[in-house]
Amino acid sequence: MPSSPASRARSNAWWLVPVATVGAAAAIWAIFDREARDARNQWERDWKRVQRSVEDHRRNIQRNLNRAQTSYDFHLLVDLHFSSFRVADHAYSSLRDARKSLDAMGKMLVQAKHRKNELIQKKRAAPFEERQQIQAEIDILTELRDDIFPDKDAVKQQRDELHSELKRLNNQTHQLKIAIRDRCGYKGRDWYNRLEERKARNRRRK
Amino acid sequence: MEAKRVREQAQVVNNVIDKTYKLKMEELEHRRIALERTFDLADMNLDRLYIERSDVLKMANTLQKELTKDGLSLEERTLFKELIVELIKQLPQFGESAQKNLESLVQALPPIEMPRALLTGE
Repeated sequence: MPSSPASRARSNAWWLVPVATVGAAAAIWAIFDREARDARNQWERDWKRVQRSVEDHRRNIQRNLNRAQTSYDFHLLVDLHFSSFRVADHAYSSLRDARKSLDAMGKMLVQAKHRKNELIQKKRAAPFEERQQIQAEIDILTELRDDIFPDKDAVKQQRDELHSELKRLNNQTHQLKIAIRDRCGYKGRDWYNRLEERKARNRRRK
Repeated sequence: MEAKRVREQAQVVNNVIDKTYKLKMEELEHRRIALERTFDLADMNLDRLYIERSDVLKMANTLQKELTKDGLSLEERTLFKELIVELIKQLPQFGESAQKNLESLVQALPPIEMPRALLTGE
């Protein structure tokens, strides 16, 4: 049966159906895509804002932590410095006492020796009957010296040990002072400067 | 919503830091007070030792002057000598007490582990 031109044209346009469908789908997709893109952009903007906020808070926390740590370190080191200084001062007093004892013992030994030499001279010039008495006195002084020497040695050893301990404590105090200056920020440097000024003033007064 | 949560968490962390700092500072204060008492006690002991030592040295010195005077019997000289020796024997004992005193102070010092890191900048 022969077909009319119109029906022929209709039968030839069948391929337009998928094209139209694809076009419509593309248009719909474009709408979805734009919305999705907008949503994604919005999400990214929000995310970046949150990230910036997190970063700000992180820096703020770090600053707070550093400030607390520096302040604590400063107080801890200043306390330690003061304690170390006081212990060193104590060691110095003990050392001074030990030196005083040694000095006194040394003088006693010298005096005993001096007296002994006097008696030896006296004995040489003395008549025979007096010599035994003088010798007995010399023996007492010799015994005295012999008995004092071990104690003097013991005090000498104590003095040396105290001296070493004092050096160690002074060194520790100095290290703490430098650590306060170098590791405790402005407060540490200010503390160090004031300490040095005080020391300089005291030196000028002497 | 997320920003609020972040802000609240940051606030919590900051509060923890502040509280820890206050606690640590209180701890330091307590340690300072305890150390002060230890120092006072050690100073008192040192003063006592100083006075006793000075007295002993004065007595020993006086006795030695007596010992070397003329006109004494041998018994008297021997007695003076024994007294001097006994007095002098106390000097190392004073020294030992002073060292123990110092040792107790050194031990009372706070541990240096944490500050050592500060000292060396580790």
